[in-house]
This record gives sequence, structure tokens and C-alpha cells, in this order.
Amino acid sequence: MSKQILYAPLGRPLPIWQRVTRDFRQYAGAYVMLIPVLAFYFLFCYKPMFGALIAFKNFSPRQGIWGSAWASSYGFGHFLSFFRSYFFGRLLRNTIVISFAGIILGFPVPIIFALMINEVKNRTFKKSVQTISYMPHFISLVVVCAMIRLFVAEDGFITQIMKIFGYPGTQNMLNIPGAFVPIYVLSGIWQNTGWNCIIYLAALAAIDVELYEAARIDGANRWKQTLHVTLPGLAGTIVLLLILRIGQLMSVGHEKIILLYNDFIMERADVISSYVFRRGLVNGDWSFSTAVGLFNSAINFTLVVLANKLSNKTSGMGIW
Amino acid sequence: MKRQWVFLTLLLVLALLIAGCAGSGTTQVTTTGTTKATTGTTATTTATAAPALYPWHEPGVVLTLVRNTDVDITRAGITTYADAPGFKAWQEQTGISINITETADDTALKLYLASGDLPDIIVATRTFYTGGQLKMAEDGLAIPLTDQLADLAPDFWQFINADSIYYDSLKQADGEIYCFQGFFLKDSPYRSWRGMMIRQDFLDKVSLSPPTTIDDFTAVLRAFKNTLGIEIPLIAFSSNFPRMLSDGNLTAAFGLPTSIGYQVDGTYHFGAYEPAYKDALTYLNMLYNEGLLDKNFAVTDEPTAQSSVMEGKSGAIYAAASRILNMTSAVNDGVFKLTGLPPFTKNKGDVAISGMTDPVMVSTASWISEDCKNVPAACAFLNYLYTDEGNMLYNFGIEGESYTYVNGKPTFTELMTKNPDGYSLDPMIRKYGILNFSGVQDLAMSAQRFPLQEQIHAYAAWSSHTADKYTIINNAILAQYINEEATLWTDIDTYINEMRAKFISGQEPLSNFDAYLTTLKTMGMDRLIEIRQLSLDAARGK
Repeated sequence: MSKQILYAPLGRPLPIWQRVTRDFRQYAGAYVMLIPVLAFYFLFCYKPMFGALIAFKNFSPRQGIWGSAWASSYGFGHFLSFFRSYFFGRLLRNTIVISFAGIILGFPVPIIFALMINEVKNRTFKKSVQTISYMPHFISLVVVCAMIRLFVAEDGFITQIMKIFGYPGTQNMLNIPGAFVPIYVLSGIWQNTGWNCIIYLAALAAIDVELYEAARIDGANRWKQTLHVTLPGLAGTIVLLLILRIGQLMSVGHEKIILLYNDFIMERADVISSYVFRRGLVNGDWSFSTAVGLFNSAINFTLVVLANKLSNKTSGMGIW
Repeated sequence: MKRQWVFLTLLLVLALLIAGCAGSGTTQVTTTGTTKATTGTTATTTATAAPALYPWHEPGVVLTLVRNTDVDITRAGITTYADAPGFKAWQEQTGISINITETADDTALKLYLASGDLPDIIVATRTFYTGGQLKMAEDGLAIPLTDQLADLAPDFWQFINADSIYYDSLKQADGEIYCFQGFFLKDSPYRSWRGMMIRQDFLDKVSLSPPTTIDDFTAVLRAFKNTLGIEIPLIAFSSNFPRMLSDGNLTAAFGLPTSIGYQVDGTYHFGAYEPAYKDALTYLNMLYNEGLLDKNFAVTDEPTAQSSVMEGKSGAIYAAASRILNMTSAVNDGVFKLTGLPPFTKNKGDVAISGMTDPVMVSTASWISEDCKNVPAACAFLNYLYTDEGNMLYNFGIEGESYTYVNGKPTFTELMTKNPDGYSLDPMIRKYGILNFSGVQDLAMSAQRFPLQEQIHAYAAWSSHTADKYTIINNAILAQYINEEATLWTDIDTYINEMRAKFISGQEPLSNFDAYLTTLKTMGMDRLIEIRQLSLDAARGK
């Protein structure tokens, strides 16, 4: 069947509904493929959103979402209870510190790693380094945390190495509040660098080879080429991933924290999600945990929008 | 071409929809027992004048039941109760079939119950639901049973009326009974199954007898360190360390029943808020400073702690009775021996005021939910374990297979004690018996569970205390205070745990104990105690 023209014989475009129906009839298959995707987003992403309502109620599973009573203070009772918690300031501070440290330390590392791998000429070496580097990503978090606890113990190998550099090393490093954030962030970097650099390697491969040649002709050395060809080529990907990462600022996951924390380091290790775990899931306080989750999402959303605006203003690049 | 393309995509969509709707991948297990109406093995109840309840008069009754997966039976070679001979026998002997669903843990169980569709019977730890049994009733997970028990569950009713401690333990703040409850007999020593244990062979080496007072204990630990050169005389692991204080075994020496809630003649107290708590912390701080207590008590895990004891790097550990068997059989050199120490006292010859003790109620309870359409059948099913035959099934299992009568006494068979597949006795009892459900634990059965004399001795040692005077039987908070209590408690609990670690390790000097009490006050401790006092009064029927 020949392609139907979407323009009326006079050269003006058809009214929109006619364009849509014609497009529909011609590419029916493509629209049909879209149905499961739309269904997925509607059923699992949008429809559950209305369940966030329980953050403003005292939810009881038996009475259901509609039947449950509204929370105190015009529905904001749970939010207030959270803000007024004795440890609220500490939780907020720890969450932000751990997130920021993760971004500042953890974000550049995969980029640098990708750049370094890119420079390697030997294909076998390159491939094997890549494969080995993303293996830790597949190790279960529980196993990684058990390893960490062993490695930073008094006789653990990390403590031994640090002793060579003069560190006293008299006790398990997980007993020391100040050591928690480095342990958390550095182990995260170790586990995820290989996996995260895959997307940068893909972006690097997409940079036009002619640009490098042009730069060489202009007399740029290796370093200048990296600065003026590679990095600008990566800029789009970097900005995209950075904005997405900022959008997760408040969402420090509770699993790793709970696996690593103990009574000694609560002041640095307890974050919003682990607190909510204790209060909400263990105690069955559904409404409370939903309220805090909503609070986190609101902050994350605001940050993403701001980051995107900022990025658009400064570099002209953004997600939307 | 285009037609084929459309057809294929439609097929794909259909396939995805079907895949999405079918099966959820949870641990859904179904079973149907037989519904034999007669035979010699299905005994009828021996209750007084009541008509024979079993086998159940309606054929083909199937009830749904949910509980957590049981780690214990996996050690006997099966993964689910549907495969357990004991559970199957329970269904055969009552004539009622059960469709069992097993969830992974309490959190998964709560999520399952929150999904709205309730099973007929819920079996779980008695305190698993926040807000207690009254909240469960409100949420439809439990129906009041008091009026129906006399008719529908006569054996259970007879048992709980035999002694007021049983009835009072079950009764909720509104006077109703909501669950079928597993019990220990009141004087059972097996209620105290956790305590301090020490390596007897080390004691022999330093020629000291097992310490009963707190000062003797310190002397023993010092002897271990100085004379025998043991690295960490008292080792602790993170999950159990706070229990030395909350069980009362350590605090008893300082006149404090426990570091958590207790009552004295109906007045609620909270251990960590009392002045005597400082003495307990001071003591542990002293042990810490002298190197007698494990410096990593917040980080060490149980397997590490156990290997430390087994390898001789430690001499004392606070753990459960079953560990005595685990460790002794793991080392198995004829020298390694563990002795249980009674809760510590101030002066020699005293009986400790408190110590670890389970309430007469075993942790497992069974509730009938609002969605149950056949309450008489559910009651009859749960009642069975309280009949004489049911009690034998509960404790010993199946006659001929797991136990036989030797000199008139029920004794476990070789299949249980010397299992050819290498399974140990305890998991086997849970596989052939129905120990992890609600019934009454028989003393004779309990005695046979413990092959080592040290275990029996440890139970006797750990139960020499008067904790029953102070324990709070019913911890449930009144419905109207639940939210407020939860808010206060989460923060207070975190603070108490942190400060305990800091005081003991010396990061916070003990001179700041008063500041700690003041901070607790500003966090709302008095209000928390008030709420709990009101709940306690209500539970005691005032």
C-alpha cells in the first residue's frame, strides 16, 4: 500500500483528527505495540499514585483506603509527627551528606574510568578489564556487607593495609561514627563503577572519529583532544545522568544502611529510609511510611526540576 | 505482510497479559488431606459429655491457613508444612483439610494480610501485629471467641480454665479471648531457655566453681584473662547483647528486674529510666575497660561469637539453650563443656529477683479471621491439639513412626533420635509433631529433646528466679494511644540503644547519666509511661 499523503491536495495540512486517524490506520501495528507499555505505566505507575492518599489518613487495611479515618491536623498529622521527631534533623543531615558524598565522589569515577579504558589499545586487555570491573555489581548486597564487616574488622585486610600507613586500627571500623560515610561511599564506588561506566563507554564510541582527526591536524595532543573533543562529546550523557542522580538525592536506600549500621554509629548512619523502616514496616505503620515517602518524592521532584532548569540555563542541555 | 505483523503483535500483547495475570510467585502451597470418616486411628475426643467432635461431621471441609515459613522444618529435609507428616496427620485425625500458605517473615505476613483477602486461620507469633490483638480484631484479623469456646472448643476451654494464669494471660483489655494459644505448663523450667553459659573446662583449670553472684562472675572473668590468657572472656553478639539487660539476668544483681518495661504491684516502670540502670551500665563499663567484655559487642555476629567460644578465645557467652548442643557437638572433644549460670545476685545464697523467662504462653498463637465462613470447623481444628490424642500428636508425633510406648512412657523412636539422614531431634519433632502451632508442651517431651545433661541443668539454673512477679503479661497498648505511643517509642528506643552503647564503651562518661535521664524526659518518656500504665490497668481489668 502506498504511503498516504497527510496533506490535502491544496498543500495545507489536514485537521489534526484526520491526521491522527489516517496515521492510526496506516501504522496500526505500531500503536498496538504501544498498548502494553501504556497499560504498564497506567496500572503500575499512575494508578497506584492515588494510594498515596493514605499518607493523609490513618490507614487500616480492613477499612480500606476510602474507609480509613483522616489523620490529625487536617491530614498532615503524619508529616508533622515526622518533622517533630527528636531525630529528624539528624536523619535529614545524614541522608543529604551520604547522598552528596555519593554524588561528588562517586559520579566522576565511572567517567574517568571510562576515559581510561577508552585509551587502552589492546582489545583483550580492554575487554577483560571491563568484564572484571562490572562483576562486583552482581554480588548480592548482603554478601557485600558481610565482606565489608570482615574487611574493616581489627584483623581485616583493609585495616591491616591502613596500619601500614600509620592508622592505629584498634577496633572494627564500623564502631567509629566518622568512618561510616567513607565506608559506605567507597564500597559503593567499588561495587558500581564498572557497571556505571558502560553507558559512558557507549557514548564514547559514538563520538565521530573525524573530530579526533581534525583535532590532531590542528595540533592537539592526547590530553587536549580529551579536553576538547571527548568531554564535549560526553557532555550530553553526563548532564542527563547527573540530573537523574540528583533526583535521587533523598532516596538513600535502606538495605545497605540497615545491613551496616549498629548502635555505635547511629548518629551518622541512620537515614530517613532506615528510620521509616523501623517505624513503618516493622511496626506496621503504613500511613507514616507513605507520608515520609511522599515527602521524599516531593523533594526529589523539586530538585530534578531545578537541576534541569539550571542545566538548560548554563549549558543549553537538559532532559526537557 | 502487514496483516502478519498485526497478528503477531496482538499475540504478543495477549501473551504478556496472560503471563501477568497468572501466578504471583509467592510461596503458595496447597494441600488437601483426606477426609476419612472412620477408622481406628482417628480418635474421638475424650472430653466430658460433649458429642464426638472428630472426625468432623461435615465432609470435605477445606480451610485456609497462613503462617510464616518455618526454618526449623527445613533442617528436617522438608520445605513446607504441606509435606510434614505431623501436619498431614492433624488434618486426617480431625477430618478437616487445610490449604496452607507460607510467607517469608512477619513483615511479609503483615503485607499479605493487608491485601484484604483474609484466610480462615492465621498462625503467627502472638505479638507480631502492632497494636496487639485488639487492633487485629478491629482490622478483622481475629474474632472474639470467649462465648463460643465452651461449645466449639471444649478441650481448649477446659485447659485455660484450669489455672487463672492461663486465662488471665489470654484475656485482652476488653475481657475477650481472641486466639488459641500455645502454652507451657506453669512450672515448666523450659520457659527460661536463654542465659549466661560458661566453659566448665576453663573453670576447672582455674579451680573455681560456677559463679552465682555478680562479683564472683567478675572474678571468674578476670581469672580467665589473667591466668588462662583468654583474649575475650565474655563475648557478645549484636542481636543478643541487649538481652543480657532486657532479660534481667544481669540487671537482677542490681535490684532491677529488667531494662525494659515491668510492673511492681500494678505500677508500670521502665528499666532504662530507673536509677538502678546506672549500676548495671557501670558494671558493663568496668568489664569493657578491663578488656573482659568483647569490644565489638555491637558488630559481632552469632557465628563469630560461637567460634570464639569453641576455639577457646572466649570463656562465657549469653545465648540460647540449643547453642549448648550445637557448640558441644561441633567441638566434640570430650573436654569442651558448657555450664549454664543462674541469673546473677548481689549476695551469695539469694534467689535472683528476675531472669529470662517466656510467659506461660508459647510464642505461637492462632486466630480465626472475620472472613472465615465455617467458624465451628476452624475452632474444632484448632481445639484438637488440646485433646489427649491431639496433645500426643503435638508433642510426640505419630505413634509407631516417631514415638512408641516404652514402659508406659512415650519415647521417641530411633528415626527421631538417631536419624539415618543425619537430621537432629529438634527439627524432626517439628516435622512429625506440630510443635510450631498452638498446643501445650509436655514436660516429658521436653525432657527428651535435650540429649545433653548440660542442657537440662542449664534450664534448671536459668529458671531459678522470681520474674513472674514483675513480668507484664499483656503488652498491648490501648487503641486510642497507639499512634502516639509508636511515635514516642521509636525515637526513645533509638536513643536508649545508642546511649547504652556509648555508656558501656565509655564514649559517654557515666557522670552524664542524669543528663541522659533528662533528655529522655524531654523526649516524652513520662507520657510514654503514662500511656503504658493506662494500658496495663485496662489489661488487668481495672
